[in-house]
Amino acid sequence: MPLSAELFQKISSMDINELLALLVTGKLAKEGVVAVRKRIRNLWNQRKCGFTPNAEEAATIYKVGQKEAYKRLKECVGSHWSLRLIRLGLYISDLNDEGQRKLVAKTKGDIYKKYGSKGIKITNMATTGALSSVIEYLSKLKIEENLNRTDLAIIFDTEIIEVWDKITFFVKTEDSEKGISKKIVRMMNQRIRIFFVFAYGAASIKPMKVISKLSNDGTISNKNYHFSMISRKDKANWILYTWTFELIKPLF
Amino acid sequence: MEDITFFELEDEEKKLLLDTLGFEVNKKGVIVEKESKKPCLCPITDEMVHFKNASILPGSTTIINTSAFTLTEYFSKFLEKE
Repeated sequence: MPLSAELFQKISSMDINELLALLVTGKLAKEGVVAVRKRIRNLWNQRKCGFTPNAEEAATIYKVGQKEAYKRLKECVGSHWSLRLIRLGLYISDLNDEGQRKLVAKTKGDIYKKYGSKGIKITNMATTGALSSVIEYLSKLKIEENLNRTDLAIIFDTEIIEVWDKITFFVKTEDSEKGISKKIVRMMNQRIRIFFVFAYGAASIKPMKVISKLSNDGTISNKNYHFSMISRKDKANWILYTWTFELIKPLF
Repeated sequence: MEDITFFELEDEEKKLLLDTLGFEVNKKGVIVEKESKKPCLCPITDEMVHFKNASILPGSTTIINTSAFTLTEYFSKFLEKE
């Protein structure tokens, strides 16, 4: 029996969810089922929707690609292999504390299996908030040294990702002021182009004092560095402080 | 980036969608191709995809084992434009 014009019209105006709900009822005749399935395939080919056990999570991860930090990094380095890990890191950093712990524990194994320790470092770059400083640094190089995406991708690989352990210092509560100061001065003596100092919550008091002292007594500027500080509160209300030290490019 | 909306489906609806797209679920709960009965392999993990944990995603019908990691890989590999 041919499909009635009315049913055809109805099927043509339905979305995939409505069509699937209609199929589930089992009330359609054979011609109706064929028409519904055809319409589902047509809609599916338009690539407008996806089905997943946790739609909210999928949508949130997808939307990370629209975040300013992500877009700016992509603008600098192009379709770099690390972008997927940056996306994951940005997603993790938006979760609450418990959500983060669960997901990080579950995800680290997957990341390590595919990308090794490099992958973990990149994810950490996004979760610690260092990413914004890295983006600033790359954007500045792009303008000042007129670098293209390939050049910037190489710098991102060689000066940031591969040496991440050497250019980052996570201050712990038990670290002494003297020890913190020594380590920062040592990093400046190594003439590292960019390095980061991180501290969470109470652990930030000592580096704050130390960096302020190193700035006031001229140590930082004498070593031809400048620094900036950003702080961000995570969902558990912990404040993460990030200091970025950058070697000033000599004029001559 | 293309606009994509994500939905959750009841098991019955999910089976019907898979069926419409050329797949079915075997007795072990693994998604297989309807004609060849070959298990559907997740392009990210290279492992068989179980019905309960499957995401059915656009782009030549990609069926993956769902996790934050696999979703991220999928978006970057299949949907991101230069």
